[in-house]
Amino acid sequence: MLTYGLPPVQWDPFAELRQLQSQMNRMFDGGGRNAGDGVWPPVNMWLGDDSVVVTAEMPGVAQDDIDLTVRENTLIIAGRRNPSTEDEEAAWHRRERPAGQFSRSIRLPLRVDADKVEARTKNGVLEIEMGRPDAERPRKITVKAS
Amino acid sequence: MANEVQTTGGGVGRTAAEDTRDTSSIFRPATDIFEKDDVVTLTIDMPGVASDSVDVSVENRTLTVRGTMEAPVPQGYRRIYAEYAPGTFERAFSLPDTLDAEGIEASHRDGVLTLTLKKSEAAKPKQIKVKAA
Repeated sequence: MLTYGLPPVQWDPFAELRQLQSQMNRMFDGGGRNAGDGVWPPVNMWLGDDSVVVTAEMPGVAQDDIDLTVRENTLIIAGRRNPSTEDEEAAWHRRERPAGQFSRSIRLPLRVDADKVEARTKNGVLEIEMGRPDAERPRKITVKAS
Repeated sequence: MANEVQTTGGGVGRTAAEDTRDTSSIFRPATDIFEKDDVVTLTIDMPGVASDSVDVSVENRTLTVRGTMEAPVPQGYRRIYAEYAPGTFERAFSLPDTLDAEGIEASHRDGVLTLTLKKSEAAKPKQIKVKAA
């Protein structure tokens, strides 16, 4: 789960150790061949007045292979990334691109309305724009002079 | 403006010193290389790079690929979390003599550059007929 802003209230030193361990494992794995480790694709997040934008680098994933789920303040990007070739007779010289099923859950800084989600891909970058529910928009209150 | 990026709890956010418009970073794109029959294929990840800004060149048997990401800032938004940064993808490969440097074909789709190289005629296995004396 992606966190943003302030660190979680309870600091778990073992979580950092586990993270380090998984990073070490990945280093010795000979490259991130597996996309299903929960940290793929890499994302950036942008905040606007009443909406949030998440962009994700996912080259080689066709638009139809992306599955998006939005619930309250959680966004799940899932799908499948095809390997460069599925030919078993091909001889590999280098294999650095992650492939396979992936699913990533991202916590958003605000609750979003599932009807206000717009997603598009361009050159392998996915952009998801999500709007806040109308009822939760901050309202301006005018102060009347008495 | 330069201060808009906050470091996140996970420590993956970029520091404030790095500007959003800074495109001077150079990244080594993840690449798959495989061979089948007489063809060697390179698959190179270049997310955010438009097809017409991909540059493929061969010089002295060195194949260089290059492409700069287009990373427009969404209008009216500020970045609150970042795991990847804009920049330029660049990587060089040295071509062995067994590959034909002339017949390279390149295609680009969904942010992935695919190059196909053919083995040179000299490198192909040849059948030598044994003549009866």
